[in-house]
Amino acid sequence: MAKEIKSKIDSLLKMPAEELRANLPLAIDETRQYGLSKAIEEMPDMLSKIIGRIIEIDSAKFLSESPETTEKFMDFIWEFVGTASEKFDELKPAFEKASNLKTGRLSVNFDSADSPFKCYFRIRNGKLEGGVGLLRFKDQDVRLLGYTSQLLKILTGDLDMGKLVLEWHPGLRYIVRPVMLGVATIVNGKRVETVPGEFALG
Amino acid sequence: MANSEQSIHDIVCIRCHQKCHIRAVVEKGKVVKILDAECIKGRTIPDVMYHPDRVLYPLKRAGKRGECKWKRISWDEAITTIANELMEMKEKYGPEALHIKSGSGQKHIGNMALGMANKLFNTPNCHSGSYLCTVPTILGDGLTLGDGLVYENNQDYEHAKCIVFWGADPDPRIPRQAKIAREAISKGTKLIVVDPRPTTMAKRADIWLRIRPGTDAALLLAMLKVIINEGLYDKEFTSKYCMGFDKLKEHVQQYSPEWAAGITWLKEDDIVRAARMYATNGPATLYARLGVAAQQINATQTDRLLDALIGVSGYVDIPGGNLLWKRTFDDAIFQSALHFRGNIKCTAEVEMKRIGAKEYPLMNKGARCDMPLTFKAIEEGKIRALWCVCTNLIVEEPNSRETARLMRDKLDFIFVSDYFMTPTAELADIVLPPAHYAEIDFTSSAFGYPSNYVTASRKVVEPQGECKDDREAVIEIAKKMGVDIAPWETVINFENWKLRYVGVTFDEVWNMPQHRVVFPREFRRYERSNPPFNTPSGKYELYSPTAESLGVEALPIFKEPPESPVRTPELFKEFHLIYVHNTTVNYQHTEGRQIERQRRLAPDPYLEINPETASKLGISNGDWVHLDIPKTKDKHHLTYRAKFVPELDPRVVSGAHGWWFPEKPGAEHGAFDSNINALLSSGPPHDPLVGVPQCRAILCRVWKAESQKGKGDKKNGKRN
Repeated sequence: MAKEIKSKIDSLLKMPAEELRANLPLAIDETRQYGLSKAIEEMPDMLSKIIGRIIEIDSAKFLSESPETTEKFMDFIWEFVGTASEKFDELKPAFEKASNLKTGRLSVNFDSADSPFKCYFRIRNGKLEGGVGLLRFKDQDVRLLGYTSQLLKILTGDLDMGKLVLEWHPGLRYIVRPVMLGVATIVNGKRVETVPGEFALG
Repeated sequence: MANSEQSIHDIVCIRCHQKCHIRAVVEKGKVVKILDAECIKGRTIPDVMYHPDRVLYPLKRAGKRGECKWKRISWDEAITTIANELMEMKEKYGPEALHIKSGSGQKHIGNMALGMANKLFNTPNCHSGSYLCTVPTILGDGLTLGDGLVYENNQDYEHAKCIVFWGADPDPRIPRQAKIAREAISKGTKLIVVDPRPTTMAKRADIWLRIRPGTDAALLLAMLKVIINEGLYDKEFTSKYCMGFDKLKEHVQQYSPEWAAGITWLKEDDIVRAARMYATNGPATLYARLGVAAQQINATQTDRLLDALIGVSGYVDIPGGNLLWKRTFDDAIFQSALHFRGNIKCTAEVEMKRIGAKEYPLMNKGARCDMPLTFKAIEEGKIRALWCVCTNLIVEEPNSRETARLMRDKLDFIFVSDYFMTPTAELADIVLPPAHYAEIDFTSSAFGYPSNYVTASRKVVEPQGECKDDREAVIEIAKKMGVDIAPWETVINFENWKLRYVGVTFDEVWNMPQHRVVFPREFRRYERSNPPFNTPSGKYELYSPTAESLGVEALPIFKEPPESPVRTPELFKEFHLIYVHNTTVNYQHTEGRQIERQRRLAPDPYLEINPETASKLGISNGDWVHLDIPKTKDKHHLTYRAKFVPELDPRVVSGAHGWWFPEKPGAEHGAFDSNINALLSSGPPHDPLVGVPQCRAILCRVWKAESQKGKGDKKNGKRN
């Protein structure tokens, strides 16, 4: 990876909130200019490290105080995940299964209660793509509701989705769980497995 | 539909949980008769639909609350008023200031309307009343195995070698399944009944355990000890699929049958015999209901012991055992009413504002607010508006008088949907007239073995007057509020949305044989699932770390009811009887009292009492009697008609449930006269996981009423 980019990401991880907020958009732009695919190849855990840092410094406050940065960051998350997902062949069966729902897709909303962190991903035709904002209810299969730090930990595989409030059909669990583990795998750049942790309530 | 000649139409009766498939005979646009009904509730569908007192038009209060003065308004005015009130309330207090309450009326239509409103009106403070009903078993079963297990849609009577009815009276509650059970019993299936009352099934049981109310956990612990120590448990299931078996085994050693006998009023030998009969006559199926796992402060934990009994015996999800009903619909990804209610949420910010979320996190996860805390919130002005749909809240909830006061004096706006002017409807500002289920389209998920299909039910006649489907009313109110209602633009769109993962539409299901789509009926699905069970460990959790993290015992124990001969012996000297409820096939909870054909069969609220006990109190069969409890001593009492039941324990009485009197004047319609909820408090103590107060196994005293007016009058349900 160009030394400058790597060095920029590494220093981001040590910055206090104010500085991070100012420098994150630039780092995202530079990574894109460098080539996201290349950057992922060279620093596959980049996203998980950035998310980890944001969680450390109070993610809800951080993301609430700069909506533009937050929007750019969410956009980056799903561009990263969508691009990186192509490199993980082992996730293809889970994504295929998600695409084979009778609705033709699996759409997951992330809905934070304490910040503008509201985004989604969708799997169609075996491909994952995501974006900023929430999909309308009619287009949604799952909505994860929680505090910002919880939702970010779902992305990194540090929290089981069963710990959250879920709007969904529980029958989707055998399809959604492997996909969520897949997303965490992509974010971390390596295989993630979590202990089953949800309980079904009527 | 032909208007000019008789025609016969299939419908699903949802007057109670059974969802019987019946047929309606229609002539000149009216339902004139019902065919194939299992009980009086089904047969009197036309009596409800065409009752002269049925609310047919929206009504607006024309006087003060409770003055029973109403004027007819248009639906447009009703919808506009409701929408404006809710928007104003939302602006001032937030959407969470609306409480929505549904119940068992119009089974599932009300619950679905509640779920839709939960979403569209964006309030997390919703409840279907089920904390007084199924929720302890839902949460208890959820903790143990992540699915339902003991509720009335989990049993396979037909293939069972042993049937257990525990705190459950199937003949009035589930008559169709009771019939199947009777057939099995007549062919040699063993029957164990655990009930303080001599139910119909108890009288034909191989073993009837006439248990002291509120002590079921003690019996379960002792039975588990017998089964485990005698090696009668399923070794493969416990070793491969259970977590905490060794801990459970160690735990139950302190609970001998001798110990349990002393607590439960049972004989030690009978406890041992029942344990052996259950464990050695497999497969066995167990139905537990309100008498054991509801309405008590140890209900959820007691349910976990029922799950332990079923689990260690190896009767989980096998033919003749206890089937995972919800799993079938989970696997089909069909949005049944039970799925829907708990899995629809508000926006994230508002979802976190559910009343009781911190105190009862499992309830919160299932989208249920806490009712006792809700009443407190009404008092404090945090809840400002109320919608009651398919529920008679005042009669149904403990602390009826207080509920009525809060409704009358504390809320800014109340709207109620009900067929009739109940005590709850009488305190509304707007009353909406719901369409009857014979007048609407809906899907219904199967109840009772094989429990694996969904039926489409089409309306057979047009709604009476200006009655409207409650779900349609929700949609119209939401539209008026400017809410994005997609994909529920119409009721049929809503039904199609429920079926979206099945890949069929409502119309397509209607056109299928028997109007149903059938899902695979499988067994032992835990053998093919990864993880086997939907719990944190993936196993059947006899020992629950989750329960422990929530402040209750990881392995359930027995706890005396708050007031009992053992815990409060001094109180028992004066209040020397233990009260439990009973139910009748003639009514579904609080409804039906104005339907003449139903009322004729059960004209009065009866109090079952042992003749010896009655004799000591100078009470004759049929006398009017009064009953009170320690908390309401000399302040309030109830009135019942004594009914002698010789086999009832002399220390127990059993009162009819859900009584009010449509014929009595005033807004109250006698809601406080013969309904135990008028004496009960919703205050502590509560079940720590569900928040339900102690509503049965309560100390009481009974005496003969001074006035015996109307004692001999049994005609047509008329009362003085």
